Amino acid sequence: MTKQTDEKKTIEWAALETLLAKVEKPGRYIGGEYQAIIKEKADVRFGFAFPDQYEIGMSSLGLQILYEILNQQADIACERLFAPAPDMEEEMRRVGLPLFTLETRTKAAALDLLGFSLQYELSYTNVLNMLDLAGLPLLAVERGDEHPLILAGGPCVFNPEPVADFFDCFAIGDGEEILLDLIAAYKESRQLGEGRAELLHRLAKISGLYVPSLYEPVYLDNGRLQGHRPLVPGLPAQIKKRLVMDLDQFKHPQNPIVPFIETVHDRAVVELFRGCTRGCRFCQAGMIYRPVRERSSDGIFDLASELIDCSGYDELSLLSLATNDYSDIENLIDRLMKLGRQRQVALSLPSLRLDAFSFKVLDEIQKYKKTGLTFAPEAGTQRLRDVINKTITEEDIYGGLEQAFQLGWTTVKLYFMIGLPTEEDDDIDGIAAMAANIVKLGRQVLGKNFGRMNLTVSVSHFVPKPHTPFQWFPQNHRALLIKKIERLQEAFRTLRGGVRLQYHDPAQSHIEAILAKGGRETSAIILQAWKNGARFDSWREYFDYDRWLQAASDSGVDSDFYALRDLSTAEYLPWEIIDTGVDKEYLAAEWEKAGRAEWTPDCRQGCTACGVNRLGFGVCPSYSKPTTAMAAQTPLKEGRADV
Amino acid sequence: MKYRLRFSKTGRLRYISHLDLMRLFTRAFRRAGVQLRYSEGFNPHPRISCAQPLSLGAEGVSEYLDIEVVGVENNLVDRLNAELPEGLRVAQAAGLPAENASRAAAIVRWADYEVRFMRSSLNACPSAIEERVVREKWTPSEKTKALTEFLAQGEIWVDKKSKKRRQTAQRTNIRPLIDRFEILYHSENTEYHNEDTVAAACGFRLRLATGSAAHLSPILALQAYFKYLGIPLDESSLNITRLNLYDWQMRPLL
Ligand code: SF4
Repeated sequence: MTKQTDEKKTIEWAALETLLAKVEKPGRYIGGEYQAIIKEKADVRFGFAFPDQYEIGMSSLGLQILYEILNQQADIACERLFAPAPDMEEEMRRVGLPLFTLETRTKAAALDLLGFSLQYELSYTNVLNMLDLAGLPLLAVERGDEHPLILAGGPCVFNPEPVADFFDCFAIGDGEEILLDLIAAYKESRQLGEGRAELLHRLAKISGLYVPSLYEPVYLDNGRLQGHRPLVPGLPAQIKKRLVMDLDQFKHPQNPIVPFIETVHDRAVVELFRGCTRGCRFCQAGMIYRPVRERSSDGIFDLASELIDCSGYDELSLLSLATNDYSDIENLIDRLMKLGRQRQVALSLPSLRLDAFSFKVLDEIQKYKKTGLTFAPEAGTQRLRDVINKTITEEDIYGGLEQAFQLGWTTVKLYFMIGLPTEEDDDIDGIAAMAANIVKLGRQVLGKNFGRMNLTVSVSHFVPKPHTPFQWFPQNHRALLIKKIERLQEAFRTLRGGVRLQYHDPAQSHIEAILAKGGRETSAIILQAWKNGARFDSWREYFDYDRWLQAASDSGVDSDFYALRDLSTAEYLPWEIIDTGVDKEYLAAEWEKAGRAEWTPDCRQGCTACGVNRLGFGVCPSYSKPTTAMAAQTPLKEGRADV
Repeated sequence: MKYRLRFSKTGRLRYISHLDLMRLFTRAFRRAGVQLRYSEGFNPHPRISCAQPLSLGAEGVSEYLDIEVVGVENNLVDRLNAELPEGLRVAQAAGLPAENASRAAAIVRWADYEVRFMRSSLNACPSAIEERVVREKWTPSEKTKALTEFLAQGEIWVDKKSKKRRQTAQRTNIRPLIDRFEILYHSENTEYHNEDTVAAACGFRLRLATGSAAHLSPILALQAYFKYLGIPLDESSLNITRLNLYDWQMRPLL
């Protein structure tokens, strides 16, 4: 059966148009952007769903990459879906207009496959809301042969358990190859006339795919998890992540969709590399995307020049976890700056370490427009930075800032976390002390321009994440976080001279922790929260803590069982069904070292044996023999300049 | 060199804002290899400007864009159209000989509009005016009479929100800002003739002052008329098309 865009499967433009006059930013819902791909006929119609608003989803590089790869296949149409804003949702529900794709306005329920990109936990209720708007049953067990297969990918699926009840299948790791394998299996299964159950069995055997309904969590008497039991023979005990080792094989996106309306990152983006070797103990991306895989310098340059020619963007941004770590960074930036001068394209370099080279670059690319400098010390004292393995020192920051002030920068933003393991009052005070020192420095260096200095200190609450050394750490209770904020506010009150303190909502962080670390029982809380009206939980204006607390008590699930409990390294954790390649022993050793404020060097300087090289990808590209001199090495300087 | 382009913004593109449109054009020029001149200073902007921004949701049939490019460009119409999405078409491009030629935004004075009530397959909501026309069995001459009386008022005062101070509404006499105000009937529009929804039947043709000196939006003009009739107006059901823009001598801008 070939699905086509016939009458019943699509919604009419006229039906949509009557709503557009009533909502804000109707441009979110019209589709037809430059380089969007519209296929009237396709063998397989795949919906790429981003569970947040258009402006956020369209800023996702992953979306652009996978959209291009899937649409390059003649028989596949990949179409986009986003969460309608609350005003549009209201209109859609009022007139009974179901969720539809932007390309052919195909009803979501008429798609063959519908894949959600899960980038942050607080988007989970949006997934449910989108399924509901599509008219689809929310629970996988309630869906049948007539429904699209509901999939999920992205960093959040490294702990798929909290949303396991809603999805038919999870794709773990890089999507480039795995999605094509999945769709091929889908087509084969359909050709053979198989039902959903047979299809799921097929998928479960593909490397990197996790079919939660084919695994059963097994519990101990004390309510703790013992493990996951495969329900059919021949399934792996753990799902190994799939990675693309040679990124140059996938030169994407070359022809990205250029949105009509302004998005969060409204510019051309090229990825430098995936993974990170620094080993910050709180950072999930740094662990789950190991090992580092770089694009070639020529590949990046070619991609960048094609990208700006075909998109017409006047800004190019480089994406990676730590720009300076790229092996050929100086040469690459020199070439890109030349390209930028030729084509009048501004280069923007996030996550830049502030060394002499960076300043040379920054000074040139910011000749006219000096935007802010960003640093992420993450913690207020050297002791705590050692605990979290963040190797930036205060000298780095002050030294960098002194130079920055001399060159004319006046806007600085610092990122910190509170609620980190082993944190004491001193560490909180350290944040304010750093701000005070920077103000002092600003006054010295800027002189009469001091009035223009603009320092922002942004404080977030640490949310322990699965597959990191801090996964066992119980998140600070909300009351404690509030106390810490109050202490900070008090300390900042005495600071004068344009310092702004920003902080997140600790209630939001609490829910994020529940959703990040929960087990399968968490699905019940999410479902109930959605029923209570929760959606857009990552948006402060829509988040409602009481809804979630109510949902937790309604569903009778101990929501804090993993989030707030001191977990033992001996126990089996819900996300252990997923194998990131990094050994649990390694994480546990790092956790122990953290307790001793002991530092682990960047593994570019020597392998620290995290285990990922044994995952079967061949040699870890950043692998080098461990050296005995390792401990004596000084940490790499670090700092960030988002420009 | 300065150029003035005449273009149309129709279909789905009516739902993108003026700023979105400027961004879109800037990118299309870059893709077409047309090098725009940039302003000097701390925050350089491409020299590109519209005669008059079109409000979100309105279509424009003859819109005008002034650009300044480095050097001289040929075949602008085709080169640009190759880079523009469906719904945006350049019809004409002309070099402005004098370097100091006035920008379209500086000379625009009047605009023609056609306003219709939107048809909808989902909720066929007949416009209130047509409901009343049908209920009270108005003849076309009666409709015209109401309009004649409305326009015969020497002064028509409305609360006009100023752009700068959003909160404070100014009492403004809009009568001098209305040059033409006509009702469109079924028979004049064969396109809608056989529609069974009354909503599609009624429309207006307006010529209103536009530009920085004096400006009246079609919505505001219709609001005043409907208020005069004592009929509520559902603004979201209006389908506005700007037909053309003129200078003080009623000459199209290109
Ligand atoms: S295996 Fe060694 S080199 Fe590779 S990521 Fe792990 S610690 Fe780094």
